[in-house]
Amino acid sequence: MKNLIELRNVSKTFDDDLVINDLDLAIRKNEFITLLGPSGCGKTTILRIIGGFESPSQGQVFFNDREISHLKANERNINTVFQNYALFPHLNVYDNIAFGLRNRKCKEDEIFKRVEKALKLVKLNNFNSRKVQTLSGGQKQRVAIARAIINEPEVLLLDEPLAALDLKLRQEMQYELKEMQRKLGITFVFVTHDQEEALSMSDTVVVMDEGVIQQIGSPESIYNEPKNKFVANFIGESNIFEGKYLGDKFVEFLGSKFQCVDEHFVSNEKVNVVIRPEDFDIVPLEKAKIIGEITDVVFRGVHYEFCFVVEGNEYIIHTLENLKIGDRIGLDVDPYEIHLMKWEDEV
Amino acid sequence: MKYKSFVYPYLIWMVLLVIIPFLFMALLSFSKSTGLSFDSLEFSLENVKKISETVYYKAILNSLLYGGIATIICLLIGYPVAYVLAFSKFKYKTLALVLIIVPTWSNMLLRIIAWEKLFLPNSILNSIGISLDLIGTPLAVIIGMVSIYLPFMIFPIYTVLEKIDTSLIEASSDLGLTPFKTFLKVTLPLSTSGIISGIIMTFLPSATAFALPARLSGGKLQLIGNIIETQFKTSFNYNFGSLISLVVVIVILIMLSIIYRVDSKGETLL
Amino acid sequence: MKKIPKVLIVVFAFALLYLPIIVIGILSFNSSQVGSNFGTITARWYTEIFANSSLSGAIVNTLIVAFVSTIISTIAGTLIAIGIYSFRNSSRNRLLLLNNFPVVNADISTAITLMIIFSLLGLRFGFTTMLLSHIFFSIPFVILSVAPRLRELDKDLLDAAIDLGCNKFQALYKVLIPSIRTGIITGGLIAFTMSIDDFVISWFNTGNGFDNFSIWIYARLGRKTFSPSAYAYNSLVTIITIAGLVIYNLKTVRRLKK
Repeated sequence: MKNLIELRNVSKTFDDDLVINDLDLAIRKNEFITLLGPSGCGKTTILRIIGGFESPSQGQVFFNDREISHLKANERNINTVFQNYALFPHLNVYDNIAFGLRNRKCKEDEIFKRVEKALKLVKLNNFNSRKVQTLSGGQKQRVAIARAIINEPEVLLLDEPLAALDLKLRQEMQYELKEMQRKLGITFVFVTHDQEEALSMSDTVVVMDEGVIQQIGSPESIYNEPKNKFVANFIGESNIFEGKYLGDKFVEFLGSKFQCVDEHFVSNEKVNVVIRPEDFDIVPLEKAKIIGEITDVVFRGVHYEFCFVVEGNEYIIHTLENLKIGDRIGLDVDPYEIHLMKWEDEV
Repeated sequence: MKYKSFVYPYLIWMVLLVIIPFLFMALLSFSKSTGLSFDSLEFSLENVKKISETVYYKAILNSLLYGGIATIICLLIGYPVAYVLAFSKFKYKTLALVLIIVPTWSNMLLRIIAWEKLFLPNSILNSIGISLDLIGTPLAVIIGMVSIYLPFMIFPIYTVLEKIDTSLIEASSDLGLTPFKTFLKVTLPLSTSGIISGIIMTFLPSATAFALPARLSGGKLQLIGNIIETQFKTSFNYNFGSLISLVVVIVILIMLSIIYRVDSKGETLL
Repeated sequence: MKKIPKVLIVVFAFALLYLPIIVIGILSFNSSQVGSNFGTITARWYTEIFANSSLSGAIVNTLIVAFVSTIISTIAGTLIAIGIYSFRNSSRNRLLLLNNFPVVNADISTAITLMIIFSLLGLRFGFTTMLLSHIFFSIPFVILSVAPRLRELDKDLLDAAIDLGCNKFQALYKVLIPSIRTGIITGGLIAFTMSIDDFVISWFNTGNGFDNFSIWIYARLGRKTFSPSAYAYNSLVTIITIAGLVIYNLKTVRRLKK
């Protein structure tokens, strides 16, 4: 499949700050792709480079195989939903949404039809003559989306659009945005620092840190097979153990031998072992390969989260069982829930 | 907050120093008397008729004309300057703005004299081979007005432009508008309150000036300010002077009420 | 927008604004008293500022009126602004609108109304009337400077002070006034500036030989009694102000860099 957007060897420096470091990224048609990472990792900068608000210091940007690295934002068939909505305060909802079309000299009755359609899509029927200042955060959000998609761009860029909304509303909007993308059939490039959001909405997740892509993959592969400590720690919660690959799908850590499914390592190679807190099985102490002592408990509604200590280190387990601090706990893990990563020094 | 009582003395102060004099001036305008005494007060419309006399009639028109032209020129120069400063990423741009205001701290009369001296045929410009003979021309008065009142146009426009969220400019570009179109459809509409402030702060003082037109027109031009000054300081015709002053105040009140209707939050004047 | 025309119009504006200032500066060093041609360069006008008794008298008068009116109008304006903000929105806006009137009213109009009421009250024209008129036009500007600070203020601030034991007046000077300090200072500066250079209002509301700097100049325009020391004084003030601003600005920028 031809790539809709390609970034090749893109770097960006602000003053003396290298914000993006020699990055390659390919984005396909009709894809919901999310750039995920902590503040300052460069994800918004990439979005702005794609949108045309910044030029790459080095490297090139391609759109449908045409280089657009220095093309201005108003000349790209890409639209943006800004983080703080950027609705024009001097125009009402209708005029805000119609803004792009009016500039293209669309006929007024055509504009009327399309605005109505857009309002319906974002579930704001009859909001035409409302003033922007009277809208709630969620409503402003939807108007911003309507204003962008009415121009039928090939790509929609969304810069942390849900960051200012409260939890319930955010979850609703996540669902709606996903639906919208499916209905419209266009590419959404979504930026967020919220990994749950990324996992629930995306076809592809791009995890970034410090201007460098850490991992690209489907939400499942990012979650289940993190490539390095950063991804393992950033996505969900993980327990990371030092271990040694014994060959033949066996790995040793915490003093015991475990069967696993990874085999891309060399015998006796040092590895990091990743086990998600929900993947531990609680077993009777006699049969347990891992024995630890509960040191802390947090009730999370969905499950309990316990801290337990093994060999002086703290780890986390999610379980429905109601344990108490001080309890001794015996654990085992299924082979396909043990994930191995290349050994990394403590960062 | 619980300090309402602080306002009452101010209300009394304003009534005393604003409302009462106005009432008195209204009284004077429609009567004839000697000076400020109530002794020989009798109702009369002679002052109203006097306005239609050519001299005074022309003075009103000239005030509007000169004030208007000076204001338009200030707008044509001032808006671009404010724009350039507001949108520049120049490190010392606040300093530049302050430097625009600094000349207003220099005594206005001295600045008027400075222009007067430049416009005389015999001036220090002779040393670089230039000799201007502009005293008495409209150009001299206009240049003087623009020079004095330009900062009052630049400042409010700059303030408003500075406040415009850059994401609005980016959004407009994102939606396909060229920089020029973005200016027309986003920046300009959002700067209207600054433009109105600037126009008021420029038009009012220039239309009602008297020292400036007196010196730079060589005494030939009579603006409404000159008329008022003469009536009160020389002819002691307080009645007619009051009427003219009232006309000025009423015009100002009308302008204020138009603005109030257009912008009820009171942003324009702050 | 291309760079060249952009900078050009800024330069043109600056030229228009500073040409008279430069001329004043040149004339202050010009030995010719009339100032229409170049005499020799001299610093005599500077040294003579205070030797010229009518000029120095006018300057002193100007400064006294400025200082006193600034202090009074700043205090009064601040308290009145606080009073205005004690009202609810609709009354508050009406009060602010009323306050705006002296601000937008033409100089000469204000001057005349003040002159009339001072006459009616039978006041002797001189220092008092000039002072009162300066206070009159300064207070609204102080209010305009303080008002935005009051608007941004945390509504709970005063309640917190009272909760901690302050009475109304302690809350005022211990909590409220310090929080709006920047508005008060700005207001004071504006009041001072307006007073120092005032001409029209002072011209109509003084008497008995009490001149301020502007009146001194106006009374001597085109006459032999005019002294270029006025240019000298003005240039001094301008330079000191610019120097002060530049130093302040540079210090701020340097501090921010750290």
